[in-house]
Amino acid sequence: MTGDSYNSNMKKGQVLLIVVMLLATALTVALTSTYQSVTETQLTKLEEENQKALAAVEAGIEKALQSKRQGNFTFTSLGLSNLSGIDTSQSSVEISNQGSTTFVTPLLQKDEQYTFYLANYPNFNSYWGGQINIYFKTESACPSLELTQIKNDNSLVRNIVDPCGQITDPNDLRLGTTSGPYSFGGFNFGYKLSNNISISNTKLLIVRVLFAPTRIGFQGTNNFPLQGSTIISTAKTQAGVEKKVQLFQSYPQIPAEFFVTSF
Amino acid sequence: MRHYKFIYLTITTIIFILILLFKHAVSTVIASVCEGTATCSWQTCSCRWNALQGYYCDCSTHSASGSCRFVNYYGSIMCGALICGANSSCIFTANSCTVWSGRVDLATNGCNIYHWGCSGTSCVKLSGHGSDTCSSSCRSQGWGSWSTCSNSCGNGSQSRTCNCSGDCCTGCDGYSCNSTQSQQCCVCNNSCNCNASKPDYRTQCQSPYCGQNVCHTTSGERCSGSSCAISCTKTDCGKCDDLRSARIEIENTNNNNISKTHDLPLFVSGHARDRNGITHGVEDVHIYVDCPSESTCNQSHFWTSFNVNSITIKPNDPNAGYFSGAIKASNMANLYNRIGRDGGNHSHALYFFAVQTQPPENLNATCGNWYFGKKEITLTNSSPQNQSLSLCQQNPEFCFCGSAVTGLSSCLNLPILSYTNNNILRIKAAFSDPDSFPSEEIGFIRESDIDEAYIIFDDDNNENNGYFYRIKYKDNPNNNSYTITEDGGRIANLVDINNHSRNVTHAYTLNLTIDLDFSKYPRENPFHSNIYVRARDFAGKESPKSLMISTTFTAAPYWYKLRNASLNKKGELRNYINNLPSPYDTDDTYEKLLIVGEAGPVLVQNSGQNTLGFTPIENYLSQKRFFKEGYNFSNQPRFFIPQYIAYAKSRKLINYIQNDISKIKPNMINIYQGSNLTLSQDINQQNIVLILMNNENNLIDLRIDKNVFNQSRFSQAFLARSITFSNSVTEANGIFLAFSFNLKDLDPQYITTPLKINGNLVSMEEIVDTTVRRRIDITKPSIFIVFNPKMYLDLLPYLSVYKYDWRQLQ
Repeated sequence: MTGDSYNSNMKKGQVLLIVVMLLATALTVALTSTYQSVTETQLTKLEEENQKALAAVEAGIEKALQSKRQGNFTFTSLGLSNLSGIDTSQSSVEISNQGSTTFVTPLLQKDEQYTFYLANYPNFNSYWGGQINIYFKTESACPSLELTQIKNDNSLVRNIVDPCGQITDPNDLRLGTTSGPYSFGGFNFGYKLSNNISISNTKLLIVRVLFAPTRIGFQGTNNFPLQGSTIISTAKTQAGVEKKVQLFQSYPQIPAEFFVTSF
Repeated sequence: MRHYKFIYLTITTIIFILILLFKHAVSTVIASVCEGTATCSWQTCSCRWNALQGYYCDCSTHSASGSCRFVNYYGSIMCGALICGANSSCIFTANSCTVWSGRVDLATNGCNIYHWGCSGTSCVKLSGHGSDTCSSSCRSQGWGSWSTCSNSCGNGSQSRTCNCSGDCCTGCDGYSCNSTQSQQCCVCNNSCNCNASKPDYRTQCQSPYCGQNVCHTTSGERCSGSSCAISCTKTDCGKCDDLRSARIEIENTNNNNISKTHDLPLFVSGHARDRNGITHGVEDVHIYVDCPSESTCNQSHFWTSFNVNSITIKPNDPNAGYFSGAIKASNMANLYNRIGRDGGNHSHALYFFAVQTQPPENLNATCGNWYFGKKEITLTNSSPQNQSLSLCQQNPEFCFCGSAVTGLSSCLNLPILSYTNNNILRIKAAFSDPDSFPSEEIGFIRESDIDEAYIIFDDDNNENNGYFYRIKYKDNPNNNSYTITEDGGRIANLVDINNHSRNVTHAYTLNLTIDLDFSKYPRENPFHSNIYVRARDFAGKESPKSLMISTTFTAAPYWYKLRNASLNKKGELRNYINNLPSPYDTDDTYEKLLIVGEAGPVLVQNSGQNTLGFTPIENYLSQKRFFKEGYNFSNQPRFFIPQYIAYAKSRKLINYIQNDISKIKPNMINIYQGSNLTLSQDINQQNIVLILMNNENNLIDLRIDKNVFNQSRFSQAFLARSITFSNSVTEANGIFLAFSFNLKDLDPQYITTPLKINGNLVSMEEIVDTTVRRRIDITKPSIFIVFNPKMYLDLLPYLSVYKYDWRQLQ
């Protein structure tokens, strides 16, 4: 091998090496780009399926709310057979009619109130009887409560719960409380009543929240009357994405802004 | 048989003994019966103490023909005939027997007189006459009469016995019952001398009684020597210069029947007698005042201010020498004027002259204008004091603050008009003048009482700046009248004086009752005022101001009340509850509370100025008294009518109607679309929610214009931008929700029609003036809101929202 040949071969090898490296680089870039594209496509597809499933869930809830029936229903039986991309045979709605000895309200803002039913709605001809306790203060600030019972003869019984002494009460008539924390219904409460309230012949117990927001927990000695509708809607897309949502819709709530004499 | 004889004898003996005892008892009774000549039965006796005269007693009797009066002085009891003469006159004829003091038994509980009759020259106790309150175990009669002197001429001795019965003995100077006492005595006449060795009242000699040659004993004089032979002739009797004043009294009581404090008649009574103690009748008595001396009294010192009726004091018993009469206070006032009303004390001498006398033994004798007595009187004066004032409800009368007992301080910061009925404030004021009258010997006569009095409402302590309201009382002594007038002040045209009256108590306190009518008083302008009184008497002396007390004539005696409600009060809570409230109707109670029935908390936005007229405020909120001041209501609520409409449009079935309320459907939400709406007729549909909007979907106004709106009390709710209850509305049934409310039409400024809302009233904005309705009877609330839970229950499906709790489980 002559020196020129050696040099020539050396140069060819270098070129080849460079070409190979360039090809490798290009291939890497190309493959990476392709992978990312596939992933994004897959994610988009999943999101679509999710949205499709959630939409189907809401549709199921809506149908359930409209049907005003109780029990388990497939989407098909609810007239939701034409939902695109939804496996309606695998989707269902459960409208619960199970009573419970516990009930926790949504978070009530200051000056809001909750209408708790102590008789069957809307007929109000079957009254709940028993002992009831009330849990409250799920947020940092201290609330007070106004409790208004509307009895079967439409008379009223009013009390206040004021653990932090924010209301002048010279007769010391407020209901006594004990401080927690108490874990109840999936929430932590700061107070509950010291003594249960005896309930009989009462249509409604309206709890108005004063000074600070809180959830209200009701604990009874036996199952309370239904407080509204609990709907569990499950929807599955044909791609296999499944969503499950629980919605509680209360019975009619009288807004505190319409209920309290004000001027 | 012998046995029967023995029984017979025993019975006979017993009967005989009983007969003897009976006869003895009868003879004892008979012996005690009066044998005197008194023909009138003494019925009543009253005794008084006089420093000069000791006890003296007046006894009176009655007969079919008239009233008799016998006046007996010096504690003596005279025995004689008291008969009733013509024209209701009384004639008393003394017998020769005079029983001196010691016969009057002064029991601790009054004056009891044993009446005595005459038996020859001896006095005999009359039983069965008069009153005798001594207990049966103590019937002391005291000393008996002295026995006849043992010597009919000159010195002798005599004795007396202490007569007692029962188990005690009084009136015998410590001597026991039936004990005797002896002394020397002397009998003198024209032919013998008295030589009693020691002076003794009972042996003293004095001028003989006219026409009788016997000595008469009396007190006050002693024998100056061993002999006191006196020659007595009838010509010594009945001289005018014998006239003396036995008693002159000045009184100003008239059975406590006083018409005005300064109008006190001067009552003068007295008795003229000669120096022998014998009474002489006087037909007229003239009084002179402030003579330099009795001898220089002449016509110029005649109390010329007296008129004939008052200066001439008619004797009511000439034979007894008694006279009495009244001198008008106006004449006294002239005397005050004569000496000047300087407010000081002034003494005056009153000289009494008998115009004519008729001595019984010398009927021809006359004593024209003969001085016989003198009396000092002192006119006194001090400033009026001890004023008091009470503020009262008129009908029924109830004084809620003030008075001399609780003082004006009890009126401090009270909303005065809230305590009244129909804005009539009754003022009861008392003004006193402490001048004393009378004393026993020297008559202190009130120179002056309340001439002027003022009741003053003033926002400061300076009446001169015009910011006051003043009521003036002025007496008019000339015609027994007075005046009550407004005496200036900036609110004089806003307050009317209605009824007023006065009376004067026997303690010489002037009491005024004045009703002030505050109906025209502007309710929006509270009058914070001090209140005080002052007075001036007729002498010009003025009392200092009474204590000033700041109080409030509130702007809002018209008030509202709620039932079964909780209350969110925007702004301030200023509602002056009536002090004695009456219920609005059968839904209401008599409770003096803002909220009756089952009340929730009262949350008030502002703090510091809240009031219900009484303190502490929480006591008048409700039975439960739940209260919070300074509550933070959201200015922009999360939920009200617009949010509800948006919710309802998306969630609830709605009936839209265009300008035609006849298309309102029951049991649903109705949205009226058109212009502002006036409802003059009921909507006879059950369970409706009516929302008023225009075509641009903005809320519009609603005006209710029917006397009793929704008379059938259907469950109905009305939602609008503003809701006006017209002047004619007295009752509106329904739940009324709006941003603002008008409780009446724009005009007039105030109406008297009350308003009841049965359902609820919810306003986003504060109703600033809750007193635009001013019913006449302010004991009842002018506005009454009854919270009706049934309407809310009936409207539950419509006037409501749903709450959701959403959770994704998978």
